[in-house]
Amino acid sequence: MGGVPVELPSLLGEEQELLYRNAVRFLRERREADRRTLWREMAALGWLDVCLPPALDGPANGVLSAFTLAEAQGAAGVQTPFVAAVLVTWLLRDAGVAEQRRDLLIDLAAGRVLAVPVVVDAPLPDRSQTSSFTRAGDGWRLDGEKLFVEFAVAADALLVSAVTGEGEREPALVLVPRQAEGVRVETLRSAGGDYQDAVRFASVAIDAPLAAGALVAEALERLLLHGAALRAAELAGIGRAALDLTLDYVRIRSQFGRPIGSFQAVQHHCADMLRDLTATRLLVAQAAWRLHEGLPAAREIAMAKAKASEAIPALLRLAHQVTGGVGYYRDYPLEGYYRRAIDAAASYGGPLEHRRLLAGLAAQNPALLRRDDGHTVPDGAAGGIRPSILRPFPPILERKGRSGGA
Amino acid sequence: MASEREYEPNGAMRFADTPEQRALRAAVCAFLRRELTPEARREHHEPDQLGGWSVPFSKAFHRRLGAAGFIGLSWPVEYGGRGRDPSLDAIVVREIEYHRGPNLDTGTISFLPRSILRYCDETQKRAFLPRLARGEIEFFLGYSEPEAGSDLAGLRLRAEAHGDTFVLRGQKAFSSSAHMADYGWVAACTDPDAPKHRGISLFIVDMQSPGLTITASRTVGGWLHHAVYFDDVEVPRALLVGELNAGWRMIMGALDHERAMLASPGAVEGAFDELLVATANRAREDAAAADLLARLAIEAEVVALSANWLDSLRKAGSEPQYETSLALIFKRETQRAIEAAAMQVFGPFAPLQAGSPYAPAGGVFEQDERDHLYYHFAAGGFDITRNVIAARGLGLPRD
Repeated sequence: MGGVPVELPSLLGEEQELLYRNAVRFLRERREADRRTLWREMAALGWLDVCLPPALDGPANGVLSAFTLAEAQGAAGVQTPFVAAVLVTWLLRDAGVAEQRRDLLIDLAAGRVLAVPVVVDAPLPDRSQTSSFTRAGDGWRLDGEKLFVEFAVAADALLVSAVTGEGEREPALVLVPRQAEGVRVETLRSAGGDYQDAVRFASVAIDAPLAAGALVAEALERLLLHGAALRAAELAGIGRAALDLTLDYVRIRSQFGRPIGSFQAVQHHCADMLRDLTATRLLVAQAAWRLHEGLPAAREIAMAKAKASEAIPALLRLAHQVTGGVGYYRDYPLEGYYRRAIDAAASYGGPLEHRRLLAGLAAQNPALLRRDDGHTVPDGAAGGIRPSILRPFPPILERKGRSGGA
Repeated sequence: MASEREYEPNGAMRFADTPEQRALRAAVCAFLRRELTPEARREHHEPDQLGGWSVPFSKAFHRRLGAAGFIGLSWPVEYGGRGRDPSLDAIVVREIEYHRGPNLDTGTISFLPRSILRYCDETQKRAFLPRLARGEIEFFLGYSEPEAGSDLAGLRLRAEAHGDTFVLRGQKAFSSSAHMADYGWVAACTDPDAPKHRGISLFIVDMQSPGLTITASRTVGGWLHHAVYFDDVEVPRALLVGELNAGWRMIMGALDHERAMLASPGAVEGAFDELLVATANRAREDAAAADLLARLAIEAEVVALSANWLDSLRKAGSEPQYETSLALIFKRETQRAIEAAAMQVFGPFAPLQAGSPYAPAGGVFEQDERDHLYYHFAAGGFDITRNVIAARGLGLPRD
């Protein structure tokens, strides 16, 4: 009986494996620390250097490390603004203002300042989308409400997406001091904890937008994908911790005269948990690699988040099924992971949203769903019929001889 | 974002083909497209065969594959190989699966030669490997018996030593391709008094030997599967593989290579592409179908990535403990999901078979749906494979 915990070396190489182990150990040890102190310690360890793009002397493996640290955070069961800070950096970079704001980025990396992205609009009663806009009068004023802002309470600066003017209503980014007059923060209580806030802006006086226009629109779309990717990494870490807890339990817990880990049903559940975790990790690693390489990654990120958002909560449910009554109580760490998995699964899009993104690719061209493996697939003929049971959908194509090879 | 191509993370898995792999894939695909034309498929169709290709065509194809240099790319040069990276052999298997080529699933071109390299003596290697590399001979895997499936160690085929000869008596079942094989890689009991794992030996059996009878059973897929009866079949001691009674270790040692081959993404990639073509632009009009395709795309991606993962473990020199088993689960579960999706997405047309008017995609999904029922139970299926993952991957005690 007993055994070695399953070895899951990082798919992104030895450096990342080392970083992961150190990060998990550190975060677990500092679990009870005051948040501000923890944040400064993370900065002192150099973790927040990933917030510096390579163009500003950030590390060459910054993207990979960001994923590793997000995963480590998930595994350690500790919430920090790490992902929020990374997303701010990448947003500023993608909006083309990283150089302009180098001081902010350097302060971020040093842990002196916390800035968080504020980008999800609260829905209006009339179901229109945008609830915040800036208008020029005697300067600039910001109004509206944003949701799912991580650590707004603790932030020094809010990087807010808003729509400019009455005319073009271009998307813009504005930097707002957290303590500015007219900014009100209300905590959203979520399954995984109270680290997300709604932020209301009531005629907040602001500086001119940092950037506006098509570049900002693209940057915001990419932010949603980056957020999804890092959350998927967190989910992988959460799943990993849950699997380890489960394995510890089933090796020790005895019933009917033997460890429950020797029962086949329990073994099969654990195997399924490892299956779901591995599928998630493979897809997350691919997304990380593509971002590191500067390759288009929307497809790969959507796959990673869709899978993680389904598979890791499923893994957690199995973990609870196996750990039974013990896992059900709050004095055992498993249920904390379960609740955080619920949060992370829903954050930056869940399975439906991301499969919809993939389906959208398929609707443009089915070949976009495919992996680039050197085969080519002919475009299908148009459909064009509304199917019903009496007039079924006619998928009647002769079997194509598949072409293959470059 | 700026790419950091100067920085290469040490020990990371690969996510894309190397130029060498891409080049080989293109060459193999070109070969397969020339060989496996729709005309050839019609002319050489044989419903009694898994995969539908006639025996004469399969054998000729096998030889041409060898002549083209696509067998044994990673085997040592002195035995007819080319000494290149093992990932290249995996690409050949993958592309044959993708293109629905003749069924070579006995491992004749993949894991079996690896076992020969590892366990056979010099004479045996020289007797078989060059001919395998040229595609001139095939082996079948003689493990399972009617009473020995999951519990393989309980096999009963008896091999009695008589001087320099062993006499084999008994039966093998589920003997894929035995009817086509030139040789059998056969596990037999050589010491009935020993604990069962310690009394098994491996033999190479010449299928021309007197005393061999092959019978056939019709499967749910419509093709014939075979059993082999050994009635005092004589096998010279020279064809005993490795040490007497040391067969179990060799069988276990070969299993991960067999799993890795069975986990090839080729069939999944091929079926997914076929489904995309057969559903045409349906994703535009049918949100449910679009979601189904999106789900399958994700699963297929995991299968492809798991092949890269296994390859990276091999390169790092790790002995797989559970990873090949997990890859096998990914491949087979995804394949079944694609077939289940096809059965749904084609509505009332789904059950129509090849040759029927209105059969979608030439009836391939309907055929696969029946054929691949064996995924559920063969080579560990879905249950035993989970036992292996639990025991070897998670360190859980045996039930």
